[in-house]
Amino acid sequence: MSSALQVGPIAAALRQRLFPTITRWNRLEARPRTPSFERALQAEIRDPLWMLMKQWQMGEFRGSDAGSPTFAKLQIALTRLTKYQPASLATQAFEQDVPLEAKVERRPVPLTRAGRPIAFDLRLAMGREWLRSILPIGAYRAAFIAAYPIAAPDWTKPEDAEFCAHQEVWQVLAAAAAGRAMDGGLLLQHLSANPANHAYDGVAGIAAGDFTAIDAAAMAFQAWFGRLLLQPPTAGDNAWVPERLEYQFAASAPEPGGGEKVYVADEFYQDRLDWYSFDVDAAQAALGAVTGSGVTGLPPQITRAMIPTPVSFSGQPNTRWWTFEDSRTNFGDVDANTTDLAKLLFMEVALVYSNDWFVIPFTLPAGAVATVNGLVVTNVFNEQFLITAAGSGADASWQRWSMFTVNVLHATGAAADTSLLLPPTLAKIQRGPAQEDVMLLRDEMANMAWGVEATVALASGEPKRGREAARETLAFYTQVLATQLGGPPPPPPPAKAPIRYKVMSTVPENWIPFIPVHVPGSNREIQLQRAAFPRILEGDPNPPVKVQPLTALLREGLDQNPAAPYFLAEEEVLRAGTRVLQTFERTRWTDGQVYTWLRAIRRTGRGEGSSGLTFDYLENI
Amino acid sequence: MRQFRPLYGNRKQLFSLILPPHQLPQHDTRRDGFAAILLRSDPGFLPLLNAVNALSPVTQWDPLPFDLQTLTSGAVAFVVDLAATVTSQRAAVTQRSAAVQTQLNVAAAAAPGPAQVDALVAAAKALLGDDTIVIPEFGLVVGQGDDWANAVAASTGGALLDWLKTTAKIDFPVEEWLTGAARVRPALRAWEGVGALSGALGRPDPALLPIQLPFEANAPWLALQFRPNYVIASDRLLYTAHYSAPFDKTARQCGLLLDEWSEVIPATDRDTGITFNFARPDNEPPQTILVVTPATANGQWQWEDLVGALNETLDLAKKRAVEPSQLDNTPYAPLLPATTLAVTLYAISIGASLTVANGALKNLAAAYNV
Repeated sequence: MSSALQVGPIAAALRQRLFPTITRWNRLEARPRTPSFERALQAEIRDPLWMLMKQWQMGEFRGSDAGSPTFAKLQIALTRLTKYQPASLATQAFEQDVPLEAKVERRPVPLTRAGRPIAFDLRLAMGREWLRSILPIGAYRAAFIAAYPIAAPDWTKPEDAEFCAHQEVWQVLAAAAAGRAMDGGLLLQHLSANPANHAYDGVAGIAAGDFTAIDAAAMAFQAWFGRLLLQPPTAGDNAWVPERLEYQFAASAPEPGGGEKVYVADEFYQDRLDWYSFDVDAAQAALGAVTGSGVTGLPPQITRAMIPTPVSFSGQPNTRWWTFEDSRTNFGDVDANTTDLAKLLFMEVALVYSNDWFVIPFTLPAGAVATVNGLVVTNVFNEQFLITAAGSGADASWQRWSMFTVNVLHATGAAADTSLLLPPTLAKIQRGPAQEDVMLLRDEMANMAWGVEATVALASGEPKRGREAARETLAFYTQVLATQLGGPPPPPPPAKAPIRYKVMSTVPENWIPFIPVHVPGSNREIQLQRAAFPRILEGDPNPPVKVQPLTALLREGLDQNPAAPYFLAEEEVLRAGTRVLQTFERTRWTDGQVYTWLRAIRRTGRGEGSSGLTFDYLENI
Repeated sequence: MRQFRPLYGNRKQLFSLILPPHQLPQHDTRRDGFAAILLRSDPGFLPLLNAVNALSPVTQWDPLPFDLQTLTSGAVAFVVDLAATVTSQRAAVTQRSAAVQTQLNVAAAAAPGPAQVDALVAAAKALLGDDTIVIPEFGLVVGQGDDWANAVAASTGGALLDWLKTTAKIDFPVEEWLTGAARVRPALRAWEGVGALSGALGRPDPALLPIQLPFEANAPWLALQFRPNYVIASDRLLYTAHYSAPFDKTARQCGLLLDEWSEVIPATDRDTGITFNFARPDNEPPQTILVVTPATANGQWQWEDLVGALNETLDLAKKRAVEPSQLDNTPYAPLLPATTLAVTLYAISIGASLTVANGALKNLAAAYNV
């Protein structure tokens, strides 16, 4: 208090009436308003009436003209994928006991390249498997090793470049050659070349009494290799389309009316295969005839009455005032820009409407196609509501958006397909390191495209960086040539001028050229054709040979007899580049069965590239 | 010195032809001197050099100079190099030894436990390099040891792989599993390479022993296909190892972990859900329990009493939410809230001036200059 207003000795002041005054009243008014919500959001607890008041304030007592759902009665039409058509080949029955990924993605595992054995890791494993299986039959180990030997690489032969140029391969072969290990690949080749062939053909010293046992072992050996690696048969079942660098396949399910619903996946190259890879092809009435494809093994319809459960998810806001959310997911902390429409929509659904969603669980067999024929929900007042599918309407309607439904192709104004396709795919796949990695680049300066082999599989089965492999191969050829010529090639004559004319610059051997050619029957459209560079060795008296790609992805058609050219649709080589990998994948299926297969994956590359390839130029020296 | 031998042998007859006779004895003496040097056993570098120097020069017989200078300077350079190497090695050894000692001191000072182990590991790395791996030993408690021993017995006894071998006709399940997994796991691929080449180089194949934990009698091995009626009740650890010594549950164990991963065996059925949006009521039950006692004790409830109690409760509850601004326009505004306190300008009577608290009085006093 200000000292001027203080009263000194109060008794004297009262006695002398020094401070005449009027007593007034001042009042304490609470003002429960603050700009900060922090206190209010603490949801503090006071007396019971205050708690009721808070609920009343939050509108928890406000009656609404609605009832809680109690029953849902639904009818589901079921069918199942029963036909499968790889690429544009013959239709076959849909195999339920193989994961769809494995069936679609499998690629042949090459055991030879240009007629030379490769994949020695597999060949050795096959040899060991065979020797193990014949061990109880008799002491034939040495005989089989001698009959199916691994040749020691020869340093002086140019054709042994794949074996001698790379230290890793040479080490393996040197250790395995000379009667130490058996090449199981040769045995398999012999057995599969003709069913009449026997494993003991041409093997010295096999007792005739053991022929039956060895034949049985050979059958088991072939079955073992079939189990070990899932490969497409030599013809008729390969979904990979090399011209497009993607998998194409179709599958169909019989419909109750007698027709078929045809699903096509004509551009599958992604990491995962799921519903979004498929489209319904309305233009195709049916795939080719397959006996027994009308039987799905499922009841055509299932009608059930169930109790719907409110949808709950982690981080879902709880509608009641004094209940607390699981703090592991904090939707309030999601950082969304004003342009993140999908994120904002998702947030709104999650934060505002989350308590209005209900779920009816339904277990379906893998491979099923389920359509909800009707869903009627009854609430506590016995009112019934027919629920229609969220994504229904015209398929092409631009406002339509839905998840888990499949697009309809080739039908103008068709109604949206609201059924659920449950492809028999996998939850978990193990993927090995890339065996092959090819970057397809456009080179606008040279007006062509390149297939750069970034990773190649060596003959030992090990992946190696393509650039290193190419350098080592060239070094080997140079060395072999030097041995043949008896010394390094003579240096070029001393130059009179500080420039030198060159016909063509060189590019690394792992750069495979693709040149534009016309599409047959068109003088405007172009496609890309695989070409080859000559391998030019200084001082080589022989004409140069063509450099062949090392990856199975780019060798398409080369290992055929006669070799076929490889055309690639030019639109598949994007401006951003296209990257194609080949890698082993392994998974388990429902009965525990292991599936291992080699597959290709396509990804977007890292832009254009320039090889620096030029013709007719002067080089400064 | 070895180079000298052909020179000596080839020129003997030549010299005897072209030398004047009086020089021959001198030449022979010198030649015998060199020959004697050749026969000396391990004389050491310096005495050898001195001996050769004493016999030089030989210019009177050999027009090509016999130059020991390059050899001498080479020897000097070699010694200098050697000294530098030894010095740097000594420095490195000292430094490394100090680093090891530092870590050992830390270990000695640390309490037994992780800190001490860390320090000892650091000491080993300081001594042998960063790639050193220290493999800990561990013992098994009784339950674990029994489980493990049972699982090993089931595997070696054949029960684990019985179904695969007899029914599924897979003769070598473990090898088949390894060959498949080696395609996608680089560490297992390396192990496969070890197996392939040890066989080729005449060593026995390193055998793998699969076990499955927790142990369940007659359970099939789950790494490959299993019998159709088998129900997997819980997660399993499939532990496949190469045992360099037979498993002994009482012994201390140690090993190298090459690789680990998890696999999922999918079910034939998938759980899906049909979701629908339904505007259900948003109201919630009250957070409090209302206990109502009858207003009059005549043994019977009156409906009005109950309704009244509910309404009164809600009214009372709503009163908790009243704010002063809502009273401002009512006749009660001068009186409510009734938290009034007496105040006088001078502190002549009992009172509580709120203006003291908010500083209004101070401003007033300043304005009136009192």
